[in-house]
Amino acid sequence: MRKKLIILILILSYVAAFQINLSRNTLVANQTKFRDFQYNSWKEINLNSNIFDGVRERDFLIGHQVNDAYEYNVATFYKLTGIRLAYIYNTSIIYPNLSECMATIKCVLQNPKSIAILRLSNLNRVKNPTVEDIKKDWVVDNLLSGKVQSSQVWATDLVLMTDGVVFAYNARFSDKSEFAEVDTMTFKAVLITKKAVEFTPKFAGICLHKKSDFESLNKQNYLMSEWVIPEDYFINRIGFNRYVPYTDITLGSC
Amino acid sequence: MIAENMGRIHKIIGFLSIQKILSLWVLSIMSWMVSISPILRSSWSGDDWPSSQAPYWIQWRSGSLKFSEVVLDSIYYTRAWMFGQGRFYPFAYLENRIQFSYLQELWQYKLFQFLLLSVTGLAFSFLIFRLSQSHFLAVGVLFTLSITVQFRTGFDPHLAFSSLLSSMLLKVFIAAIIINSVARTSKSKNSRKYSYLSSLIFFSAMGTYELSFLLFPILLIAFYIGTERIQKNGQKFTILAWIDNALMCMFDKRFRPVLYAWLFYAFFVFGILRSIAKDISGAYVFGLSDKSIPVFLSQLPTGIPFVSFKPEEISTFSLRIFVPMLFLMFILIVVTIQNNIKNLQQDLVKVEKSSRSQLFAICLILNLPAGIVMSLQEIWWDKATVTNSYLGVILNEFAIALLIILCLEQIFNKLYPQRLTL
Repeated sequence: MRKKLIILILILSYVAAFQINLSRNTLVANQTKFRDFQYNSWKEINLNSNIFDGVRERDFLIGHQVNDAYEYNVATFYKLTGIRLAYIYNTSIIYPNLSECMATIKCVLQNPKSIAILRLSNLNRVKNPTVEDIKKDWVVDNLLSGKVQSSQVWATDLVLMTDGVVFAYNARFSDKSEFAEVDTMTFKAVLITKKAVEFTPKFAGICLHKKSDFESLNKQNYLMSEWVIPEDYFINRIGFNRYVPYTDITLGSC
Repeated sequence: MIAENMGRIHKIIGFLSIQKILSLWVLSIMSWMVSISPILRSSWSGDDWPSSQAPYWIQWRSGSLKFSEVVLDSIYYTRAWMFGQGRFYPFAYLENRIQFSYLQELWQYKLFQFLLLSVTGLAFSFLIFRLSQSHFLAVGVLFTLSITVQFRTGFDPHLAFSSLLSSMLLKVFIAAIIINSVARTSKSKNSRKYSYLSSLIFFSAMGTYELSFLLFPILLIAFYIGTERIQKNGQKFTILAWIDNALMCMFDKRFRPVLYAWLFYAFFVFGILRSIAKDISGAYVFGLSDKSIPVFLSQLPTGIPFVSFKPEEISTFSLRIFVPMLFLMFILIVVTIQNNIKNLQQDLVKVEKSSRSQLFAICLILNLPAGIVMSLQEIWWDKATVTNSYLGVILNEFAIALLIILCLEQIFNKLYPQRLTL
């Protein structure tokens, strides 16, 4: 009888331990989902929004949140949109001293195109690349073929504004200016939320205007909306310059 | 002596009902798989974030995801780590790239991760069965693994890192099972081929992750136990005799391929690669100081159940969803154990003292590498704690699972001394 009791106690203890361990493992497993919203948003923006309309093969994108280690990179962009960009750079690669520059009164940045082309060599894996390597390696192709000279450069970003709210925009850098200036006429933005929330995004100090809501096609049923710079902003503002310095681009809410 | 032994085994087999043993096996496998099933609920984690992007990078760079491109990409990174950091893990890169290239959906990858860890647990259980001839220990180790395997919020080998550690352990266990079979079938023509196969698998384990280099003694023990079974000389177990025999085994021609694989790896990685590497940094900067001791000691208990739990996590457990399932499990275990209690009593007799000592040695061998390696890595000094561990912690979980079941077996031996009459 005593032996049976010992065995019963052992089994009971085991089951309790098993239960606690399983619950805790489940808890930790669920914690890994913290980044899923950003991950899915990036997918959603590429597949179902129009913010990258106008972006062409071999163009460059530049953004503060770009991260090759996560989903926000040129490789997934190619996978999702079919557009093979020259590269998507993190802003710090193009302007390594940006924060120091911003701390000064007159911070003027050089047009990013020549820097973006120059930085391509950092991505090269082929030693002394030849013309034959062009077919095999996209980076070599861009380095040697000279086709990137006609590429456009875009300012972009995908930012988690609050928990459950992602804002993304894309706008082309001016080709004509020698400085880093973004053309607001090419500005496109989208807001993705997990549920209906009151949120008005602000871009470079301008409160944006909601143009339309559109349906998300993913399983998570995120809410997506398209945002534009309000027309009256252009009309009412005297001396409005359609080109905004890159250093003036800040994101927020109204 | 062999005939007597065989007769005994036949007697035991005859006594055991296959169905009853099978029911215990099924229950233990269920328990093991349920315990690690939260893997299926997890998302990308740790290095899996960048690794899961790898196929898209290959496509972007080369224009396609052909198998040759996948292999070339893994070769590129293998070379970079070899000549940069002096590390050698081609199999890790190859497996990583193949997994993420062909299992691109999260659920596909997670299912694979879950199945690989499940199979690793089963291989360990089968290895224990081969070494001990005991269903009690083999089944029991799956039950105890179910409570020693703990997911961690930092570096977790179960949920992340492309199942690197599961893959490495699986290879070590398979290599050990094969070399044990080679030792048991002494005169077979194929034994040489199998010992080469074992050495190849063990080499691939070392080429998956360096920690397996320290698991070489497990293969030696597996071989030793195999030879011991067919050359039983009735000697009393002593440490000196064991070392003597182990050394003999190490240079046995059937074990030599494994030894050569081990020595070749040591020479190639620690002798050549380390000396020519240009960029040794971070975790691979080795050193030894008085800070190494607390790091080493902190990693020894990491496999003990609940040891990685943080108080704030315990308060948020959502226990209620598991209660009905666990009640069912409790009933199942009670019924199965009740039906099998006699079988278990008979089974215990087969774990002989020498085998038991060697199984305790396997616990030790599995429990030490994580602490040894971390204690030598400067980046872990002042940082490592029981709750702050690295990937090698999975070895400790397997070690402690085996240790618990060996201790339980001792308790059962005390409860049922009548086994001695067999």
